[in-house]
Amino acid sequence: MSELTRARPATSANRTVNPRALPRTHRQSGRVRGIVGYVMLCLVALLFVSPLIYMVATSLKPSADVFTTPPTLWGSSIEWGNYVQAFTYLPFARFILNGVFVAAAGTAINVAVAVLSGYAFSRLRWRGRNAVFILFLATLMIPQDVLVIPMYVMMQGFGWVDTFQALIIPWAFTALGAFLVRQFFLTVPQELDDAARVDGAGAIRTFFSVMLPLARPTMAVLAVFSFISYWNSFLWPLVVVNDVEARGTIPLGLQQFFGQQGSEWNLVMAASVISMLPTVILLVLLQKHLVKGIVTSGLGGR
Amino acid sequence: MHRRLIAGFAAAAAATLVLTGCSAGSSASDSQSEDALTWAMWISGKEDKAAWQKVADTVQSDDGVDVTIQGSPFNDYWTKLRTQLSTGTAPCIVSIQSLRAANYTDVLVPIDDLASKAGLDLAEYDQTALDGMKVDGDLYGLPYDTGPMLMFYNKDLFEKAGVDEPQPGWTVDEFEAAAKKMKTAGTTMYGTTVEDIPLEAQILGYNGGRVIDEDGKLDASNPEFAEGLDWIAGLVEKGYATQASADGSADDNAFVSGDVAMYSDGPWSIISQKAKVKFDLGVTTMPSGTDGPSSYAAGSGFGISKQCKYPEQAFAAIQTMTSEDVLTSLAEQGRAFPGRSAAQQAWYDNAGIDGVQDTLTAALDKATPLPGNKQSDQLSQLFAQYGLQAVNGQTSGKETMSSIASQLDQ
Amino acid sequence: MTTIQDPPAEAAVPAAAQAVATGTATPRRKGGDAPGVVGRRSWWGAAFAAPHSIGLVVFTAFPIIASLVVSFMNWPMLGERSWAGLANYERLFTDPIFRTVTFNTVVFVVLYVPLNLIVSLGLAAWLTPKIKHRHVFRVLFFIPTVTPIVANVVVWRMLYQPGGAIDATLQSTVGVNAPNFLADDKWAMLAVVAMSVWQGFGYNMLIFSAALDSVPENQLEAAQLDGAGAWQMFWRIKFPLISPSIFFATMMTLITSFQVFVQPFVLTKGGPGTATETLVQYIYNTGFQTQQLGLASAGAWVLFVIILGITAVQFLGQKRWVHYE
Repeated sequence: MSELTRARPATSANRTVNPRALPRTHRQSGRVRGIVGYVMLCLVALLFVSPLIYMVATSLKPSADVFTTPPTLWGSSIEWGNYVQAFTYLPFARFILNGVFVAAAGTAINVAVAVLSGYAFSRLRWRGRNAVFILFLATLMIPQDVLVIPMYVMMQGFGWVDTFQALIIPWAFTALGAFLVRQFFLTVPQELDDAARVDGAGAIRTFFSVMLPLARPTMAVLAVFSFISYWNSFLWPLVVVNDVEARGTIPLGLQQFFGQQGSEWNLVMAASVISMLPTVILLVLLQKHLVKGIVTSGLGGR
Repeated sequence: MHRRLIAGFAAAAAATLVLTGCSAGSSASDSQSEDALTWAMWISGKEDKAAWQKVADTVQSDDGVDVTIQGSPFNDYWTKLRTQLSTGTAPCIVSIQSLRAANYTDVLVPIDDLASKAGLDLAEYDQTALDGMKVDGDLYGLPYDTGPMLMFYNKDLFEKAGVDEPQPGWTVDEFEAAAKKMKTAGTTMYGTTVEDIPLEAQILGYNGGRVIDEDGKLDASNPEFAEGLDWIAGLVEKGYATQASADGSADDNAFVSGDVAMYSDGPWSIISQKAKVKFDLGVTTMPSGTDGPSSYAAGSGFGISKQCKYPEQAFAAIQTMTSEDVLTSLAEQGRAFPGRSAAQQAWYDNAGIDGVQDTLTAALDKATPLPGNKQSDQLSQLFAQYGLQAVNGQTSGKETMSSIASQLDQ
Repeated sequence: MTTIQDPPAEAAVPAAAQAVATGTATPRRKGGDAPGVVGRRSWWGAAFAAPHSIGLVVFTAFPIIASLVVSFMNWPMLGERSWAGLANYERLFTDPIFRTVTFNTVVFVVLYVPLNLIVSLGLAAWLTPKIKHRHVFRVLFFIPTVTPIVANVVVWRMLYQPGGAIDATLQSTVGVNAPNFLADDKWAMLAVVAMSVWQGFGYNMLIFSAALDSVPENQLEAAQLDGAGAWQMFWRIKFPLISPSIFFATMMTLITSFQVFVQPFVLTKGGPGTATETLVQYIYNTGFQTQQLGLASAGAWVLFVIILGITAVQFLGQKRWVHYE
């Protein structure tokens, strides 16, 4: 029998715990606890977010006030112009565009192949499945730094040096997505496959009509991860891009603020704040997919 | 079963197709031709790019060669350059620092012959700058800028503390006395750094200790250098200097925000710092404790990579890029202190800082070129890691240098 | 396969029954092919995995194999290359610095992984759908993950340096000087871990949040009916049901934390001394500074073996705590 069974509250006569049936004091204390909990959550959030607040504040400081001791939140003046300057100091708009293009394309490929392979690794049986999965995982265990130069040589062979393909494709097939999707699909009850089979659905139809809709939250998570990985990638773009204005991405751009003649820290912060926006926007847009799953309604989407 | 085999073959065929079909073009130096060369340069920002683009345009108009700049951020320029060199895709014209010239002699063309063939009189260049581009007597690049390590100071803070402004050629004793007075007034005098060039310059000025000797040989267990580290540690302990940080720009930041009254930097930063700081900026020489050279001069120039198929055109290009006209124009924009003596006056005129000419002349007089070494980059990294401990008083100079020496296989 | 207690049995019947009830359980078979779903071995699996596998092989196989071959060679970035056999590996194992950096990396992992998981799981569990504006909180907690490292470094240096926020606060409240965190070999690693956790926990929090949201509601209701409190609800119901995701998060966090490089490098450059130098920094230095690609590749493969070992242990151990359907 379920380990969860224990003596039911003496106050309720039926199985359902009706909140209104509880004495008033219970309700009040519940609400107070709720409020206290919420306040605590806000405090914790503030604590975690405080470095970001400092970043934004620093981005609005004049250059000379960035590193005062002891540190201050605000400088002697608020320089909204820093944000404008970030765009004029570097071809920043272009970097954002390049970054979005590369990240979006790469993410699309990554999510597409990973959702297929993750499904294959979890819900389909085929010869060599475990061996291939181990190989997939193994590719994650080599640090990128030693792969960069042989990869560059490969790009030379393909004639892809200093192209967008070189930025997008080589890393679009990382195994992380397959692993993530696999773990998700392993939680889906077998009954759904059975029901689909009973319905006469073949492998493809089962996948597209039944499984794929369920995987939306996981795909959303993977899309965010993949996007971030492309967006923040530095070493590979440094090595493979020669025409920085045409194909440079944000991390390359940010490094340009550090010159031989000293660095523009306030502009760096402004540029950093700007560069965080696309991924945050992506996350906000994908929030609606990161909601309660529809597993239990059986064949969701019908 | 049957279908699996077919699928497998199809997959293998597709892969082969992709690999072979796409390896049609090899791109080693493809983009370069007699009239179109590439030039690797460190770039920070559009203004920087524009200034160098104008130099490239001069080559186009004077020599008819189209020079394309491949810019990288300064901090990462060397990573990228090495990657390109090791895979045979290096640009023809390579910007090089005097400090690192020794690291790249394998891949750069010695240009003495090219110079005499082109009839270039090397005496027109500032000799310290030119020496910086030489390794073992061979010239590997034409210098475009040079500069002795200097000390920048905050005139306002000096005035407030009642300390006399330092004069060019001041001694270590004068420096320490001023630092003491500054401390009494409540300000730390010096922003400590463990970045290789200023650190080595400071110690050279103090007691002549060198970690790389005049011939470019590494001498990590040099006892004077270790003593120099202990001296700096003493300054930190007495409160005359800040504790060091692994962050190379910490001293710069402390100076700009008014936390310290002085820090070390080169002439390449004078104009940009002057624009940034809210106080009156002054420059002076590194304090000297001996009669010998009191500072290092470092510079940058342009070299030609061995992978370049058109060295003569490349040489013509770099000759133009370091011509008097170009360097004067760069000097007027307040950029690097020129590597040609004739262009240096334009720089002084533009700088607009009192006494900068006297300071620089005095500094250049007592400066010696910083010799590069194949292990300079490693040394720089090790200073950032270990130098910290020496300067902050956690380990002695001798222990620190022996840790560093052991990692450099000495 | 392990099944969980009562709730799934109760859920499965309604689901299948619903399928029958909605008239989808017709005896007619659509299409003539045998379905390739679970239970039958077929080549569908290979087909589904093919695009990913081909891409992976084409693009990652060559660099990986190349780096393995290079690890057995003497391969300076600029200069003569020659065969070295096991010499690189010998050098690594006799280099005291290599041992130090391996140790440092292990210390980092041991500190970072549990902290990361606790913070991310804790916050994900806290942010139940009942919480008002939970989307906002989720995004806020996630933002540190997307901050560029150059910006993080500015903030955390400001916190840690002498005269910085922590030092100033301590001085004004308790009158004591904070240690120079980033220059003190006793504190440096902890300082690095703190920044890393702050920056990295958002990933796992997102995964756990998505997983927790996928927990079938009827199981939660059933538990509530049985009188389960929040704590029990979490450990007896939610945790087992999301354990595959926890397994994923643990594995990936382990794998990536063994490869940590950027955070300590930009904060302390690996110093003071070698207090925060990690294995990948060692590899990077060897490759891009000392320019010995062979030695660097050898280091990477030693790291690979370490990670592989830990991963294998995790996979073997998963039967004990990870519940799959």
